[in-house]
Amino acid sequence: MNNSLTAPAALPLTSYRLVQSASPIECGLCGEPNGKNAERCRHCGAPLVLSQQLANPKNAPRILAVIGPPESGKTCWIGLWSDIMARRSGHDVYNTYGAFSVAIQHHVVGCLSRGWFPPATEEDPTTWFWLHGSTHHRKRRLQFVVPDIAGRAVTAAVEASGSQPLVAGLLQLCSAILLTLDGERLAAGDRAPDFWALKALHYLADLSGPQPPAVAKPLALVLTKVDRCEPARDFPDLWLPRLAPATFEYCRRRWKEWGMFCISVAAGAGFQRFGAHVRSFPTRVEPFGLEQPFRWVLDRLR
Amino acid sequence: MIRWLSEYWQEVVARFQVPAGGPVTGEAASDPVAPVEAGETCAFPLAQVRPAWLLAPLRVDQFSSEEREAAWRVIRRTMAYIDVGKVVVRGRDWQADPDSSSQQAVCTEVHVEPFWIDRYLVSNRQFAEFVRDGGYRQPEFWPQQVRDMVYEFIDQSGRPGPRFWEDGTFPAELADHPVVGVSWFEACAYAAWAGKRLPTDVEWLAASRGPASPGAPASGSRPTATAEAWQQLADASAYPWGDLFDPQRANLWETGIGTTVPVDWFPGGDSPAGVRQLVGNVWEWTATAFAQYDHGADFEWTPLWVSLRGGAYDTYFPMQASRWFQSADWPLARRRNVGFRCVWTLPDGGSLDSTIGSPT
Repeated sequence: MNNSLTAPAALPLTSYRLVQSASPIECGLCGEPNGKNAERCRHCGAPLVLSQQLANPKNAPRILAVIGPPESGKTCWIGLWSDIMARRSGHDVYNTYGAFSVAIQHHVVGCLSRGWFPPATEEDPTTWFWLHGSTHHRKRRLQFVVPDIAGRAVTAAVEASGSQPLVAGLLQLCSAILLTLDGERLAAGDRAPDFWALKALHYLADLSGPQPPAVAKPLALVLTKVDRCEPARDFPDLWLPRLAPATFEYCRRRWKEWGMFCISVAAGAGFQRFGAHVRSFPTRVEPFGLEQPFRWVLDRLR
Repeated sequence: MIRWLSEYWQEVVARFQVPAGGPVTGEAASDPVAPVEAGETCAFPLAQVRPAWLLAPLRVDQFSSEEREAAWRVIRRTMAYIDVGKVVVRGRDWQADPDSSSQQAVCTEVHVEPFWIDRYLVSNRQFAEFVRDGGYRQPEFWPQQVRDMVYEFIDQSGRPGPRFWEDGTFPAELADHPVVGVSWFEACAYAAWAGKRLPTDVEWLAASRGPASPGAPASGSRPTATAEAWQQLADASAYPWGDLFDPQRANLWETGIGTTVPVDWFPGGDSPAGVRQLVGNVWEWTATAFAQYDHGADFEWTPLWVSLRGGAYDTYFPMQASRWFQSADWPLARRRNVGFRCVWTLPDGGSLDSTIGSPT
C-alpha cells in the first residue's frame, strides 16, 4: 500500500495565472503585456480601456498632462474642475466615460466637503486617478484623458530620466501640458517652484527631440493657490513673470504656444496638528479660474 | 455676447430681486434699504444715519425728544430685535478622523442677552457716509494697535476707503450692494461710528435661527411641546428657512449669479426674525475668534483668525454657508466677498428709553 497517495499535500494552484498571459493586451502607455480580462495595467496602473482607445488612430482621446511639484494643488484642481463641469448645463456639454473617471471627482469633493484637502498623490501609479471625458463645443466633440500624475513621480523622472517609464510615456504622448506653480510658496519668496518648473520644461523639451526651434505642444502655466497671493489673482500676465522669472523667460524663448493663468480652490488654508503630523485644511471652498486653463488648452486642440 | 449677458442679467434680476410693490415676506421686506423712507422728510439727518449713536446713554440727553423718536423709528425699521435666551453652538471636533464621513460636532449651549441686529448687510451707500464723515481719520474709532496701519486701508486710487472703490467712492451701480474689501478693523470702525458693534458668533447664530420646524403650529397652539423643545428644533435648522438649501433663497455658487447682489434681494431667505441674507451674498465678519467653541484645535500657526459666517456668492458647497459652518480670515484681509452687519445692545437689554419708543 502506498501511503504517499493519501497524505495531505498543499500545492499552490498557479496555473490560472497562465490565463492572464494568454492573448495578452499591450498597455498603450507603458507597452507591457496584460491579461485580456484586466481592467488596469498591472505594471503602470493605467485603465486598459484607455490604452485601447489611445491606440486607435481615428478617435484617440488627447492626453492633457497636468504636472507640477508635489502638493502644488493638481489633484484638487482636476477633481473640482471635473465636478464643476459635471454640474454645468448649457454651453459646454461635458461627459465622462467609465466609473474610474468619477473617482477623482468623488475623492476631492469628499475631502473638501469634510473640511480637509486631499492627501498628496502617491508615487505608485497604480493609485493614480484617471479622468476620461469629452467636451462638445460649437458642434465639435473632443475626447481627452487627464491622468492625476504624482508630483513625486515627475520629479523622479526629471531627476533621472528613464526611471519613470509611465511618466515619460505620458509626457511623450500628451497633446498639451498644464504646469502648476505653487503661488503661495512663490509669493513667500521661495524660488523652488520656479526651478522645478524650469527643470520640467527642459525635460519636456528634450522629449520633443533634439533642440527644435520651438516646442509645439500648447503649454498653460498655472499659478495655483492665488487666494494666498491675491494681488496676482486678476493679473497673471503681470505677476507670473515676477514670481517665476526663469520659467517665464524659458517659455518665451522655447515655446510656440503658451498662456498664463491663476487658479485657486480655497480661500485660505490652515494647518492642524495630529500628534506628530500636520494636515492642511481649507478655511472655505471658493473655486476661482479652474476652467480657463483647460478651456484654453482644449480650444487649441480642436 | 453682450446681448446674451444683458438678457442673462435681466433674467437674474427678475428671479431674485424684491418685487416692486409686490407681495413680500414679513416686516423686513417692507423696509427700504436706505435709512430714509420714501416721502419721509429728513428733518433729523443724524437720527436717520446714526440712530444708535444718537441713542447711546451718554449722549441721548443732548437730543430733543423728536430726534430720539425719529431715531427709534429708524431702528425699528432697519434692525430686528432678537431675544432668544439660549443658543446651541455647534463646534468642530478637530481630533475626529478626517476620513470619516460622519460630521463630528461639539455642541455648547450659550446664553445670549437680547440685542438688535441690522436687517440688511451694510451697503456701499451706508459705508460712504462713514468715509464722508472722515471715519478713517478719527482715531477714536480705531484700536491703538492699528492706528499706524489705517493709512494702508485705501481704495484703488489711494484714497481712504474699501479696497475696490475708486476716488473715495463706489461704482454707482453698486450703491445698494454690500460693502466689500473692508478689513475686520474697518468693519469695527464703521460699527463704532454708527454707535453699534459687530455681532458675536453666538448673536449671529441667534439671529439666523430657523423656524421651529417646517410644519410647526402657530404660537399659542402647542399643547404638548415645551418652549425648550421648540427652541432646540429652531437651533437645529441648518438655514434660516429650514434644513434644505434652496438656491432661490440665497446667493451662493449654486445660484449661478457669480457676484454680489443688492442687500435687499432674496426676501425668501429671511430668518423668522426678519433678517435678510444671513446666508449668501457675502461672508460676515463677527467679533469672535475662530474655533472658540471647537474641540481639539491645535493649529500649526495661530494667525489670530476672526470668525466669518454665512457664505458668499462664490461659496461652492451650500453646507459651508449653513449656520453650522464657521470660516475665518486674518483681520487685515480685505476680501472681495467679505462684508458685515452690525448689532446694537442697550445696557438694560433693550428697554432703555422709557419715554420714547420701546423695542418690542
